[in-house]
Amino acid sequence: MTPSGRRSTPDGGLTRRDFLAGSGALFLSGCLGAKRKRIEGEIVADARAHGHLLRGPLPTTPSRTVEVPVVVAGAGIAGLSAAWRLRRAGVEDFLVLELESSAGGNARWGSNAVTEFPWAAHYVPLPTRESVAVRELFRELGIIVGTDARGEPEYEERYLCAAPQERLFEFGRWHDGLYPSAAADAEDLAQLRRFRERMAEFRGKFAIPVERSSRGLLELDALTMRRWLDREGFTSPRLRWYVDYACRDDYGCTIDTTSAWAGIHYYASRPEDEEVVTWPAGIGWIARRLAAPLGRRLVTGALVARADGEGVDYLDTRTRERVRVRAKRVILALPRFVVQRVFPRTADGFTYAPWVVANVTVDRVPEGRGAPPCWDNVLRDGDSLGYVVATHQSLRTRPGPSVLTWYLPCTGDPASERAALVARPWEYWRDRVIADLRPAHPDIEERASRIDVMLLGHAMIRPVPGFVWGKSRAEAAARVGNVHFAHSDLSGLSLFEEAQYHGVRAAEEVLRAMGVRCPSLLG
Amino acid sequence: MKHALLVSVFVLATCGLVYELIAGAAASYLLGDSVTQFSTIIGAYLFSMGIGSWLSRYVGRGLIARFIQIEILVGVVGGLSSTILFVAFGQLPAFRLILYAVVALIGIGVGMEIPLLLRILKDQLQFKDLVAQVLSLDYVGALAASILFPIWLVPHLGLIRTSFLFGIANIGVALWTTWLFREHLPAARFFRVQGAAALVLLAAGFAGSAAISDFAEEGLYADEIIFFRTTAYQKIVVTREADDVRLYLNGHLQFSSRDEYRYHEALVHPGLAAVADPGRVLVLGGGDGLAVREILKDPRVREVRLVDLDPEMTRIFRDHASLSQLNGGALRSPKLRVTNADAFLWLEEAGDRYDFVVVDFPDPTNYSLSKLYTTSFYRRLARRLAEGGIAVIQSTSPLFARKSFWCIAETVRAAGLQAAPYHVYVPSFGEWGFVLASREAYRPPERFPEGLRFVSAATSRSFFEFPPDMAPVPVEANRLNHQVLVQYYDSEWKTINP
Ligand SMILES: Cc1cc2nc3c(=O)[nH]c(=O)nc-3n(C[C@H](O)[C@H](O)[C@H](O)COP(=O)(O)OP(=O)(O)OC[C@H]3O[C@@H](n4cnc5c(N)ncnc54)[C@H](O)[C@@H]3O)c2cc1C
Repeated sequence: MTPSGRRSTPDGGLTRRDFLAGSGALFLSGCLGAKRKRIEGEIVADARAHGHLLRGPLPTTPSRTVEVPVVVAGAGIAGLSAAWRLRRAGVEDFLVLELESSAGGNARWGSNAVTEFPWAAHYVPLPTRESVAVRELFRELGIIVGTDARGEPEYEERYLCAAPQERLFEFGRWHDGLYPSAAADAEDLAQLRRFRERMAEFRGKFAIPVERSSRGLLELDALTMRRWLDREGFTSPRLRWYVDYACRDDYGCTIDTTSAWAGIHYYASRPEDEEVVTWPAGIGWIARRLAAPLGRRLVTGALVARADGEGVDYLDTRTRERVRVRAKRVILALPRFVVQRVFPRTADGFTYAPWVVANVTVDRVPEGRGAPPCWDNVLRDGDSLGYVVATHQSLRTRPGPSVLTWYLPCTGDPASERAALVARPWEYWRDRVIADLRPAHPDIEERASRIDVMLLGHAMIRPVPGFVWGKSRAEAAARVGNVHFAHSDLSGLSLFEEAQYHGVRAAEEVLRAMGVRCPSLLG
Repeated sequence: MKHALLVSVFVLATCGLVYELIAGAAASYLLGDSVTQFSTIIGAYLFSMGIGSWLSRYVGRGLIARFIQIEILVGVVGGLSSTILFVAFGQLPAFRLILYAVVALIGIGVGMEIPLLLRILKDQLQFKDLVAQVLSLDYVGALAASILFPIWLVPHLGLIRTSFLFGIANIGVALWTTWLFREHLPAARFFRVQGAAALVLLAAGFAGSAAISDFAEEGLYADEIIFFRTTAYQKIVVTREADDVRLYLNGHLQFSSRDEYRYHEALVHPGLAAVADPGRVLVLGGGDGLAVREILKDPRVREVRLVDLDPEMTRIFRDHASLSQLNGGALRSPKLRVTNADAFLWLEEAGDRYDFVVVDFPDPTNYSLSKLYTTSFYRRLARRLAEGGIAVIQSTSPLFARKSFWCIAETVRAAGLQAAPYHVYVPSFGEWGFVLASREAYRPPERFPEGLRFVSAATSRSFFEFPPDMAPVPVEANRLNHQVLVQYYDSEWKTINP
């Protein structure tokens, strides 16, 4: 007798027939005039809207003054990492001032009845040997649980991104992996192989943190990624899409605006097919753990408005009071465009790509034709990057509700993109998200109950040609008297590891200045 | 006019037969046993046509108007018929009732068509020509339908779109008739509006049914269905043929009562009997209570905890007479506690330890289920094992899915446990495998509970011998981030059941 896979339920849950019955029922109810389900949502208020206060007049005199040895402005990954470094060295007396109502910055997260979900950063690739401080943090947080026979870190399996990781929607179906391999011809594949070989040759010369990279290839920073692809004879449209996708995903730029150095860095700074760690809240999982021990030393709703060698002034966004924080050391863990306002410096060339992030609450992860749902679900057509599934790491075996985090980098001219962002109502973004996902998931409107949107006007620093290895970036990181700087902007690449590096670096500068002796975590 | 109406006869005949074929095909897909389904559907349909023909005598004045209305009705019901049937099967217990109601309604309508048409045409032709032409076109239309249906319609359009398409054709006839008789039909506009509305409905259905129409057209069940329920998690179907009761979940065979004792004795006793003092036993999956029945045969067991996802499953196997008979009322045992939860999540939270654990999950057909076969899962399982405790894991077939089987054993080892793989022969599944997982090396027991039909001390030793065609193969362990098991399983079963 022919064996049948015992107990092999076809999709672990609803059968195709339920699906069919479901859509049939929906169709019928549609015909019978039943009301179409409404999708709720809003443009989530971004406290950075308070930013305009920076431009307006402040109350002239502080209504109170606090004194503290060290003050950190900004509780993104850089500011939180600075605090982490100070605490590891036994320095517990400091304040962290954050504009938003919670810490995180571009690692911030949200939650609803279904799950937590990221509002921006969602994963960290496994840290390389050079990312000493990241490995140290990961050990402390239980992400790295041991060392294997080869001396490489062992990771907690639950935090490693679960299989299946990535799929790409093309020609009406989902395909495994991100490289558009469906319909790739021999020439395409030959170029892909050659591209991978080229990247392997570069490996070792590009590092995370950027600071650890070899200085021998800086001429690549003068070219755009497209020029470099041209120069090397990489003409395959599939390969170009693949590389362009990486630039959009990591930098909010295209191959026309990313410097070849930054474009290659994406591939050459880590081993091929490196794994990542991720959580429902994205990197918010780490941010929350960094913020938790701060307790009341984390002051939220604090808009830092002025800084000088003796401290900072902030505006309490709730009481509208101006507060003076006198400190011996100041760490400005703020994006460069904010630093320019609170501690005016000349800093040319810092440009930012706006992003739109939408969190779509669905009653069940949409499947679509072809490869099964993955953590990262990318669409070949259109400008968006597709979506990440917040519940992917869940141990639940049955399909259930989830939140899909949809990403749209705005790769055009930043100022006009920003103007266009704010001009559009929520309905526009709702329709845009739906229209983007519908080809892959014709049922998306039925699945979705909420679409919340966040507009990030200055989401990512743009590594345009000449920026990463230019003068202003190098100068921006150098301390000015008692004022130190920390932020991923200072690397020219928006990466968790870079933000952490600069936070730790700035804290170690402060520790040294305070005469606290401790070995550097920067390797 | 005359020719126009004769064309209508042809179209209507095609439509009529297509509806009948759709009902027959849908019923055999959904209920299995196509011979019975087709013959009862055809019978019911023809009988309804007879009723329709007879009822046509009550149509007096307004012949044309009635004819048009019947066409619209038949078009709408016929067009929606397969959608209705699939929806009803998914949602409603009274599926057969709905099936025959739909068949009867269409049959009655179709039965009225020809008599009415004959009467409409009677002044245009001599009686002998009339009958000859109408009936021959009727049969030619039926022939066309019966050839088109299997060769083109089902493979290319699928059942759902086919029925919408013919519903549309039917409405087309109705609309055309309103035009043909525009001079004799005072309410022509009224009918046109009705017809147009029906047309829009069906056209929308046709367009919107793309998702519906790729329905897997497979005959699911061969035997009589004695129990059927759709729960939040799965579709439970129990069939019986003579003394053989079978349980299907989502269309997949779980056991056959003829030989399930082999499976469940082999699942439970080699492990359970080897535990020194199996006071506390945990069962993950296995809501049918058959594993619990075996466990309760060991008098040393004081308490059993059953964790199954689906509350309906455990409820019907406790309360439904012919189902609880299969597990000997095990789910009513005072020693048993039932928890309905997702096993992985439950294991994560639970704090108790158990002397013996039965892990009886569905095969790792997809990524969700394969999580239950990862190092992460077995590490958590290990934490729930008491001192000297043993777990047994159903591990698919070492013959048909050799890599998958050895992958599960490898995964148990990678999670830091000892693995003792074994296999038995269960006729309805074929060669089937299990893996015992424990901290100390497994030692086969000398004694088994009384009254076993399959497992004994002598035979159980041979379970652990693997002939060359099932011998270990090099495989990787299955991890959350690298679920190799799904790939092994997929490739192996695909070569057997393509
Ligand atoms: C959409 C998106 C997706 C991303 N995905 C990834 C990813 O998957 N992996 C990855 O590694 N990186 C990712 N990144 C980049 C990563 O999030 C950032 O590099 C990192 O979080 C930056 O941390 P930071 O501390 O340098 O800066 P920020 O996060 O910008 O922190 C600055 C903080 O300062 C606060 N602040 C600003 N002005 C003031 C003021 N005047 N007073 C007080 N406080 C103020 C801000 O609210 C913020 O909390 C992503 C970024 C974006 C935008």
